Amino acid sequence: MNDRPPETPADDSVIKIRGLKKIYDMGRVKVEALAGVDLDIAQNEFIAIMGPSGSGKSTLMNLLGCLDTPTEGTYRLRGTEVSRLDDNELATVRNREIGFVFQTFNLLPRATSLHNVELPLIYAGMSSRERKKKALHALNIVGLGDRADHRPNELSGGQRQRVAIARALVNDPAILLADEPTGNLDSKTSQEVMQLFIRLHDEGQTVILVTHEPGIALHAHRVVTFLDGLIVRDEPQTAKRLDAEAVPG
Amino acid sequence: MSGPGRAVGLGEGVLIALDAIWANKLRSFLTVIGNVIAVSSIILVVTIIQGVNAEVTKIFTAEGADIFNIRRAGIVFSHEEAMAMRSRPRLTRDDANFLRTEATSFEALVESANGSGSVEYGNESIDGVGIEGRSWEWALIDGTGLRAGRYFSPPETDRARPVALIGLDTADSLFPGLDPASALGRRIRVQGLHFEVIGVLESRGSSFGFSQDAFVVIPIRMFQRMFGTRRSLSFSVKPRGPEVVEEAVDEARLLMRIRHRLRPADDDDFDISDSSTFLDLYNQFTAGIFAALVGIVAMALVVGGIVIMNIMLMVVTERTREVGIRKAVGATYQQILWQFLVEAVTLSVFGGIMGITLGYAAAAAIASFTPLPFVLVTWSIVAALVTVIGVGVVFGIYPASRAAKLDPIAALGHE
Repeated sequence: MNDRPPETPADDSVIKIRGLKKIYDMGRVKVEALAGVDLDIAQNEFIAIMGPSGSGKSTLMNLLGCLDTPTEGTYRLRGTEVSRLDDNELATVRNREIGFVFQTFNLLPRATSLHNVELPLIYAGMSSRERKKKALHALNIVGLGDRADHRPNELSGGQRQRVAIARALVNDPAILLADEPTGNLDSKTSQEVMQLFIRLHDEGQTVILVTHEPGIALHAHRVVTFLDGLIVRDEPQTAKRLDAEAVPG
Repeated sequence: MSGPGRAVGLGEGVLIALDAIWANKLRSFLTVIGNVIAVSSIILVVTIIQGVNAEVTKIFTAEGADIFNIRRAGIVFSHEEAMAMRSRPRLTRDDANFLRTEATSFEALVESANGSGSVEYGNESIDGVGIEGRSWEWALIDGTGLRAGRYFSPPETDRARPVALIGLDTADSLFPGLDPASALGRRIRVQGLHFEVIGVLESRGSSFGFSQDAFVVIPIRMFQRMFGTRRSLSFSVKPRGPEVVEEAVDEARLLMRIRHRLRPADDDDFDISDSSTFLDLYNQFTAGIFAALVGIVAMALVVGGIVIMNIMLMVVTERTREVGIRKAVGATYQQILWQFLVEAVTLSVFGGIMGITLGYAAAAAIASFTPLPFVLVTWSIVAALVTVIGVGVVFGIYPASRAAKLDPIAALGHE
């Protein structure tokens, strides 16, 4: 079918990236943010992407999240090639396959928790009743079923992030893509949010965490480190993670 | 991979818009003030004109709608026309008698002329009373009817007898506190000459709030003695029946042309008009008002639309991050476009509804302070709503497309 290097016969990759390049054309200067990246992420992996700023990890996150398209290379998401889709097709992929969690939560400030969580379902064209049911279910998963009619300014930072996680989960996405999810939270709340990610992973969710905090990355099974647009390290982290889980709180 | 239907956003969009309007009440109001002015002026003017229409139609269809008039001059619109009319021959008693003799389709022809002057009785004196000269046939076509007494007879017309019929207001002014019927037989002075009151007419009603009952009717020959024969008469003709109105008009025109010795190529040097002539004229007049209104309203709407466009551009900038969030969770170009378009239309319609309310309130206020009736015109509401929806779409499409084209990454990074 294709001429890519052979993989393991039973291919359970959710994400399969080959030769991914992203070049920003800044007029006279061309900036190579990603210089040819290969990456496979399997079903139910918990992976942390690390690296200093400018290393290309944010660019990769934008590409993984289908917010942008690569200059070169291929990206198969759950078996679908998404690197050459147009904007509307990408929107549909984001709607069905990606659950975003942002550092700044990115909730609609004037909307209730329930409405915020419903948002992806609205764009999926789901009926109002079904939407409410699914959104409430997602809020229950993150333990905020009783905050459904609260607005973001009536919630703590940790609660806001949990609403955002409920929104990310509501469409049963292929990947949960979290960009510095604890960056705006204190350490105790950070631990709570990380425990939520761990629980979701234990329940079968594929989680991709972009962070520059080693302490946060410790929770992941696998850490991929970027530098100058390339992967410089990609190693499992089972033992350390157990240590991290031992941390009380 | 087609996106979900765009109608998904309609209810959502209206709710977002109403929420935003409510959150920025003053700004929203200022934004739509152009729409409010435009729509309220449409509603107000349409309501008033409809009210006037009802009144005018009532006047022209009240009675004797088949009666037509022959005059020396029609209604003129310019000084030149007026000057041209002055060279026309006057309509005389002989013309009237010629028509009476020759026409076969007339039931009656009334000679009439109008003036005004003073009327006195004892110490009571009123000025500016309408003095109406009529031939006896007036009794046959007068639709008002008598309150008391009688009309004057053919001999009284021909011999210029000093007899008069008076209106209710005249009776009231000359004989205050007395029953109008008690005026009969009394001798009043019209322009200083003595007249015997032989009849009191029923009320002619009011037109636009003004009573029409201050007048005196006297025989036409008497009128000509008082005011001279140099002023032209006019003739009112009652055809034999409604079915011969056109025939009667044609006959009148033909006989007048013969009488005035006009050649086939000559234009009429007289004017024949029935009530439809006045209605046509009136309709032309209101059409002119409507045309001017359309111009003013169009200007207000363009200004209003530009304000809406500017505010929507500002709203899009303010809510860039929101657009980023919506795009991140899967909103397509069409869905964002639709959301902001619905918001612009909602804003515009909000102004329209305020304008409709204000317009009707103003019309109702005018109706309560003036004799104009208040007519609720459904089509003007529909037209106003369709117009403001159009304004919302036309001026909302550009800001909405700006929002829809936003790059989600840049939008999410926007503070």
